[in-house]
Amino acid sequence: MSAAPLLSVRDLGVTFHAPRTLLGRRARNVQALDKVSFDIHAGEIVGILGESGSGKTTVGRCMVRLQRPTAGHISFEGCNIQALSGADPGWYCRQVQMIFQDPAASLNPRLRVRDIVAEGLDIHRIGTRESRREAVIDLLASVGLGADALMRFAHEFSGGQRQRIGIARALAVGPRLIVADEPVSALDVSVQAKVINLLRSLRERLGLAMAFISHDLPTVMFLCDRVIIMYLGRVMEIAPIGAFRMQPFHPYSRTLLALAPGLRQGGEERIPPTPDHSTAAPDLHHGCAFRNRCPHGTAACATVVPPMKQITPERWVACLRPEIFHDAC
Amino acid sequence: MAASCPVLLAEGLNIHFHTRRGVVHAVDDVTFDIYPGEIVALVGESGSGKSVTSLSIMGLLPRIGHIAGGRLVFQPAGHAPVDLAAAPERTLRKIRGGGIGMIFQEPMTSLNPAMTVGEQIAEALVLHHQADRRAAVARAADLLAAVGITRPQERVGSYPHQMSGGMRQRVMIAIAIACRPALLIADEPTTALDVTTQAQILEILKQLRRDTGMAILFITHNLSLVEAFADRIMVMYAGQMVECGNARDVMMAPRHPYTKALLDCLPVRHLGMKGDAARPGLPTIPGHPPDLAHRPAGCAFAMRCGRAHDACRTGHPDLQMVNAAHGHATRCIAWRGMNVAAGA
Repeated sequence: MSAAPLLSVRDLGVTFHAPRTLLGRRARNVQALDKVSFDIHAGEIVGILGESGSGKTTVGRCMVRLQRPTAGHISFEGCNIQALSGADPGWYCRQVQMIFQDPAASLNPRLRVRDIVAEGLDIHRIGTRESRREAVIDLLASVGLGADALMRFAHEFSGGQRQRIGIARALAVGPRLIVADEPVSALDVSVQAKVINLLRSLRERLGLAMAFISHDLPTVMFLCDRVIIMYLGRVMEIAPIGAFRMQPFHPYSRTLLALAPGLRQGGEERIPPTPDHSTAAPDLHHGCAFRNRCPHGTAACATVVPPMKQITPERWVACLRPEIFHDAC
Repeated sequence: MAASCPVLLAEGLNIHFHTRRGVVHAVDDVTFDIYPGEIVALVGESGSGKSVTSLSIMGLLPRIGHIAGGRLVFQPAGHAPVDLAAAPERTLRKIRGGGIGMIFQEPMTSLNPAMTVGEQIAEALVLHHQADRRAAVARAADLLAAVGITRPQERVGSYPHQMSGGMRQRVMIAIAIACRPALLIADEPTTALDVTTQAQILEILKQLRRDTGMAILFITHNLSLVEAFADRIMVMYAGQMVECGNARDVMMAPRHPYTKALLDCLPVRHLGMKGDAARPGLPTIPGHPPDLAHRPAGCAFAMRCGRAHDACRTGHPDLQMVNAAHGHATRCIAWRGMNVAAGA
């Protein structure tokens, strides 16, 4: 991982400004992302794991420029993607594509599969009309669909097949990075396995890098090389999967690992107390986001925002007391 | 489980849907029982008939569907048995929310956004127990406390939008248990929730089962979730019950090729201790479930089953007893030769 990263996220922040209410009052602004930093290298699958409200989807939307960050920046091969101008935004679109969670809602119901998959090729004027047609057939074949799919509409397909169409569309412009936002969570278990296998084989065949956004720890552990754990808009931990499984450092990571069905082993962490949602999330201007659920919190955890510390060359953790677990291993 | 009389007995249940494509046999000859204090999981993928089965118990089938055969005998302790499949709407109304409580997947759409949660819990008590409105609201606070909501006295006055997803699901459970049901039907109650919240909701359901002795029918697509939670597991495929037994037996030594294939699809069963890229892909199940309007002859899983032989494609396999003492049964005629080891 010493080579320059494909994509770098640095100190990314997104604040959603709450609209005025009918009475003209301002609700609280929501800090969806707070100083998020990580790298994605060419050809690797990085899992971005978090619960609802963790900001994992917002990070993904920033990466494909669907969301404008309010702080920090993202660079792709050294180019700041917010500062692109002229023909460059189009160039960036061809480098980074997205796969969405709900394959039914993300495919245009009025277009035939041929046109859905070819839309990117048409927009970027890639190839001739004839070569595009060939390309679409090849793309469909690469995701396991036959040429008979060309003239059909999205509603004629099952959920798993629709997700394949969405993947073919993302692959059409020859991206080097795919942002996949919960691509299998709407699918049946047996169909999930097929799509996971497809994503893995695409990485091997095409050398794609992938940001796999998910809430499902076992799937991330199976598919990904590294994992980024997010909680309430912040990164809690970054680790290679194998090391993470052996020894998660952040108390929140330990909780997730202890609670994942089927992963539970001896020495189980207690389920942390429910945060009382009537008092809402903790004050995020001071202290650790996880502090009121953390069994190891100290007074300092309520005042100091834990910086990301590099524990080993490949591992980062945002905890004031990483030594409580680090020493154990 | 010690009680002699099941709180619910489904016997030869058949449910048909009349569609433009013909009659869809959504549930085909399903038989099962649930005893007081038992947690039984009904597991299946979409279209397997698990939700239709639960809706039929509550008499909530959509208009195009009806119970075409079989009985659904509901018998809470100390009451006369009622066949829900034949009971008039008036009787069903008394049982819904009374003897049988129900919680659904999406707590936001199941709650009334214009009523406080206290009023919604009290509504069930007023309706079924003719409780005095004020007493009912007081009891609502007790119920909120029972499902682990802090400061329940203040929370009875909250509206659903002021609560998080996990809190709303707790409110749903409070409504469902308000009239001390003998049976709670939980249809994917944790699917929309975060893992940490999910674990808490399952813990609350277990606690309620211990405290009240109610039975729980837990409907889910998530096999790994029920392993530690359910006493018994019933697996549905294409409208039929293909395997049932103790949770441990079914998870550790499945005796139906579909159950085994479904378990093998789970990423959690293929995690080595090292994240190596050379790991083989996940096993998958070839093909699709059959069209239930044109059910093929023979075993419904035969065309996707690597072990199927000629006898599987003719005749209808009945449930075969694997272990009578454990109540482990499979709808596979070739179960004896199965290698149950994971990934085999």
